[in-house]
Amino acid sequence: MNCTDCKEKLVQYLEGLMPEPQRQTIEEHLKDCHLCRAEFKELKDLSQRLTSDSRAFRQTNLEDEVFNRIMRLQNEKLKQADALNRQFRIWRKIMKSKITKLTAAAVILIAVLIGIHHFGGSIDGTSVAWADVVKQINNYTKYKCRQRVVREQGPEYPTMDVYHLNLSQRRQEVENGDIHIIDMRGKDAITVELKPSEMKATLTKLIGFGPRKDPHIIEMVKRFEQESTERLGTKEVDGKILQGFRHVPNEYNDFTVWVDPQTKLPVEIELIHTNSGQTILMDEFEFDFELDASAFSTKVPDGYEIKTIIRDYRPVESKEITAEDIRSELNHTAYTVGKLPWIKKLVIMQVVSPLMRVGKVYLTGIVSNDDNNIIIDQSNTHSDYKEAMMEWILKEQLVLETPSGAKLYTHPKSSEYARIFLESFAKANSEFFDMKNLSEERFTRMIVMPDGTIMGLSANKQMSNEKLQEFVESLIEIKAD
Amino acid sequence: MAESDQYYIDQCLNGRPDEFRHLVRRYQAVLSAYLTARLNSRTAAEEAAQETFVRAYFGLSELKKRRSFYSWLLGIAHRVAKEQLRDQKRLAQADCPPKQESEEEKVDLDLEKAIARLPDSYRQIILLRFYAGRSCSQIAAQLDMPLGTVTKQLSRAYAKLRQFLSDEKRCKDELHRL
Repeated sequence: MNCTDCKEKLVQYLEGLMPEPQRQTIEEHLKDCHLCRAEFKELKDLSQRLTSDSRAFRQTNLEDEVFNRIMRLQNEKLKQADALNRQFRIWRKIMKSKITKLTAAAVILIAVLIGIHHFGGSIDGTSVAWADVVKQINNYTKYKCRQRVVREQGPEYPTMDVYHLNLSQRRQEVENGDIHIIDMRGKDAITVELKPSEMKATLTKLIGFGPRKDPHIIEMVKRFEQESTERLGTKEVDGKILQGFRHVPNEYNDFTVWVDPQTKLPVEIELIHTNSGQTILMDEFEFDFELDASAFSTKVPDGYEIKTIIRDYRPVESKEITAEDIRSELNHTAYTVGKLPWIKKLVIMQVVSPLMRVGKVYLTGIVSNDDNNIIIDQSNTHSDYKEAMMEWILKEQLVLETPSGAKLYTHPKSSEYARIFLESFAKANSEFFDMKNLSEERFTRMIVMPDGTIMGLSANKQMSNEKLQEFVESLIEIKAD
Repeated sequence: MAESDQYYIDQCLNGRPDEFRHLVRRYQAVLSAYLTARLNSRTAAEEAAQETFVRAYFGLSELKKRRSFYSWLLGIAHRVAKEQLRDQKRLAQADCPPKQESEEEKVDLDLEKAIARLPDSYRQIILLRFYAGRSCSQIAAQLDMPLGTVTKQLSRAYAKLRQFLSDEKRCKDELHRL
């Protein structure tokens, strides 16, 4: 046995993992070679030093203290949940959720969240009681309710009073005093967010978004099919007896409606979006509220400092573009990938946002020499919703911080998002990616650059932290020629 | 035989939160050692280790790969330490005297600092082997790697540790000479 062989096997020997004949060979070599003997002694000393240091720590007993803390926090969370919704049955989900507040900008999205899933079918009128309710609701074109959203993960939406003037216009009065006006009657939808406390307003023009009708909850409730509506019996709320109805849940929605038998109008509606883990609670209904038409005007009152955001929702054609195109389209710093020896191919595409189905996203697709498909996505949405998105990404989910200060976070829907982006690239450029090669290892990370720019990084196969770091460190700002 | 981390996590998520105790027991020494190195104080390390476990407990449902609990936990500890260091810095700026370490808290800080400097994969193995008292075969099973890889990694970790410790010693010696 030579010294190199011996040194390689010393740890195995020290750990007692060496089979007998080899063990003897090592021992014989150690007897003869003072250098290897010295090496072995150093290893043994270090091992002993580690063992003796670990002894001091093995006496640590944190169990009780950790459990006291957990119990305390759990009770606090329960109390919060209880205060929020005494009768609410998903308090367990709240305990799991990170309670964070969302910036007003993202609140507007609620409209989209609520409106995604329609019921099919028609009303056949066989159940007298439910038919009465529908008939009664049909007498009203406008209504107001209090709306609360409870989510399993991500930021918590604030409670708000929502005044629906019709299916295209509404006013949201948020608990923190903010006011949102949404008007989707024209070809360009307009949202106005007013912050009276700071006298600041954000006016967002959504070009090509309208005209659009908001398929709000009352409309959906009206479309309940009789045979699929189950009676839940009664319950008492504030001295009033309410009659419950529940629509047979489908894969998207689970509706429960509590009606006042005297007025035949909804008093409480609970809508669980089963697959997205959020529940919308509506109560404090007022039908035919009295509000001046100016309450729905998108004209910003005098004295407000206005920030205007333009979002283009017109159809987008998928096409190959250049880094320069990304730079000129983005309203924040644009990045491109630097030269790395393992990059085999690089393609830049403009596609319609696969998440929102409107608006543009700029994808940089990379094929690596180990046949991984990596996509960087950049868009103006990231910039508009920067703060809101950062709330989405939990601080606990930081996986990597590069020496230059770029941060990588896991995405709450990592695998799903990676699939969506890979699919979007596959549709736009079949040479870059074939959906048949979709891997179970795929993942998405959010990159937050030191200047605050947010980008998505999706890959079909796992990448080591070292490689991810190398990749992110290679990102360079696209500058004008 | 002790169950896997994954088993205890499943139990916790299936409504038996008390099973989390096993995970605390398994990793308390590991976290304390790692955090002592990061925070330079045994007391601060224990506080940070508690915080790490509490965060891990409430974050369990978000942990996608339950097999990777250990490295995930170290990641949380890393962030807790960072936050504490930031707070310490803020306190220092506000002219609060730094907390003095008592004699009994003295541990082999040079060694722990050297461990903290190791690359993640080596550190994981050293901490598991010595501070969680796991054998090489147990580590191989937990990290899902061949036994030979574990001993090789351990061997490289030893080499790095020796290098860091001798660097440290040289620095100190030079300081003495000045």
